Amino acid sequence: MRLLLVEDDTMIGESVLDLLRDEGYAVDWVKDGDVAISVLENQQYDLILLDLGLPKCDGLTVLKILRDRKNRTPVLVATARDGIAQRIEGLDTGADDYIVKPYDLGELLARIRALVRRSVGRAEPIYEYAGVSIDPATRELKVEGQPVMVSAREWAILELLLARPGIVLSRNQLEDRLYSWKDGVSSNAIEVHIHSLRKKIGAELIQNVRGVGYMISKGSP
Amino acid sequence: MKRKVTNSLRARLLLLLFSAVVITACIQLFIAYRTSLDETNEIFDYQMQQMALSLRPGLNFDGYGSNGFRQDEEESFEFIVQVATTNHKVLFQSSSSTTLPLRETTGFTLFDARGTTYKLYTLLHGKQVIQVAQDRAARRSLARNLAIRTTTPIMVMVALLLFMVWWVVTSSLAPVYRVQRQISTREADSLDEVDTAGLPNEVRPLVEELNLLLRRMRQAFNAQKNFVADAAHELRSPLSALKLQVEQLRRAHTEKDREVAVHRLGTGIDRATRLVEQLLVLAKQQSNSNSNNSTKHFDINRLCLVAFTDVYPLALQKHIDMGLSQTDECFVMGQEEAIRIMLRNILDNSIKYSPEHGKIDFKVILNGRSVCLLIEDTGPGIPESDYARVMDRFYRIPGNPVSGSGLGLSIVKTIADLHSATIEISKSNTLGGLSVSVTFQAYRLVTAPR
Repeated sequence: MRLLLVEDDTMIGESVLDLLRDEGYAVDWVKDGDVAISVLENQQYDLILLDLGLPKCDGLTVLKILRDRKNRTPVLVATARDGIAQRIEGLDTGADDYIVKPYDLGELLARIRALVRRSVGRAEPIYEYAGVSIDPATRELKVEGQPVMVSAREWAILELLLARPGIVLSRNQLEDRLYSWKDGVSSNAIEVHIHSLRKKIGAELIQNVRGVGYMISKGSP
Repeated sequence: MKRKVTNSLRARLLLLLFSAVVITACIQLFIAYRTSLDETNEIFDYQMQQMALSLRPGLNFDGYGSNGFRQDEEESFEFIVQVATTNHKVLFQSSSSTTLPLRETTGFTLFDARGTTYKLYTLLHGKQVIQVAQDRAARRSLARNLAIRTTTPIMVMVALLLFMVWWVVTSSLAPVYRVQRQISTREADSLDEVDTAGLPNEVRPLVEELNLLLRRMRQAFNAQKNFVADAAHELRSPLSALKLQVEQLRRAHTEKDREVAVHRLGTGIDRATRLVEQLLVLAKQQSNSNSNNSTKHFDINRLCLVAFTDVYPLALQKHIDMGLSQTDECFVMGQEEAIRIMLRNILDNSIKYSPEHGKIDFKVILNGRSVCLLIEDTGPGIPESDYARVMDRFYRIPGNPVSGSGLGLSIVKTIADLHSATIEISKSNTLGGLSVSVTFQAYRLVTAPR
């Protein structure tokens, strides 16, 4: 999952960045509205964590421009301004959720998970398919009821593939969703992670569509 | 000019009421003049008639004696005329049945006869007494008729005048009632201005003053609202950072992560501490404004040097070329410690916003009766649109990347106000950044110090 963090407060920004990365999210951090707008022009994110009081171009304007472009990326507004009128304005402009600072990290993570889940059209918190289940909240992976340990990257790949079984994701798409700008990506990193995943959960679940990418096969038992 | 006259309530009332009075008076005058003419004519005619009638029976023209009356003729008793000699011999008598009492003096008297009261006029002429009597009731009824006919038009005119006054006053005061309605029907928390269109000159200043008051209240209300929103933001952000930093420390697994987290937490606490300190300074200075206990005169130049050395290490860290470029000697009356805090805040700001290797100029300029402390820097300055709000508590220029409490300039302003000093913020002409000037009233001693 790749997130965009738009936050001008350096202290808050660096902490949120590190904490989200620890959770296995690929996070890009921008500090002003103008940069956020130009980044969103070229890059697709799974979620945007948006502060409202931003330099150059405030958060609501960013949100409005984003929605005017028909960009449907979920937006979680995080701000210290808690006026009801502002919340209403934020939600009406196109925010999907609103969290007031200082927030609890657990709550922030839960809201992020819920928004991502809903954006792919799911209501149930646990992804389950063909005997493999993952729980994004507890980060537990079970194969036929047995817990299996995987790395953060492997987990992220599996989460992406399980979110939409039968949909093929190319290597580029996976890289795009898994790595932020600051992560250097080696040319065969995805292959290495897929290989390791197959060993842990069974080779037949993740199919390699040659020349196209990877998918969770719909036909598998 | 014409518009102005009709727009004044006083002029309008005077004009309309004067016209109403003049018009009704003219009508009244005309009617009274005509009525009096007609009525007196009528009375004179009537009296001529009566006189003729009363003289008729007493005249001896057809063979009767002077006392021989034509009994068949109907007598008129309204007027009675009698001529007699002083020794009571009646020479002429208009009424056979009523003899007038003889009087020895000329003039008006009353006497009763025939069940009514007569007014009698007696004229002594040689040895003759000439007397004329008139029935007083008849006289009165004539006079009453005359009076009623003269006063009836006055009553009609008074009614007309009253109606006109009522109409003039009501229509002139209509705009005032409109304002009253406008104010009484507004919502309790509405601070909208009252419409002054078409208001008379007497009421307009009142409503305009009211509007000014409403505007000031609205500004104060907005300032309060801004303050609450800004305060929420500025107080929560450091807490937000602290909360996240603690979370990070809790989740740190390696020694290196822990070190980073502890360092960050430290800076977060420093930031929160600075905010609390600034808040306390502000609160202290604001409460100071009531008690001028530590006020004394002091050398402002020496104080500037102290403030300068306070912050010099910070400037050195950023390799900023900071200097006192003009130091006019002058004394100022005030609280030394407060002014030191004020200068520190201005200098802190300049250092914070100046780029590395920037430049800050500090000048003490004596200008006749006032002394100006001028601090200029090479920082980004403040957009002109923010000059008005930048001294508000917790106000931070949107998009300001430098962390701060948002209280620095509020403290500066509070202390300056305390000393009746004026602050001016502008773009520095020499350095291109911000220019802050604080102008004090200079305090001169009669005898030179030192």
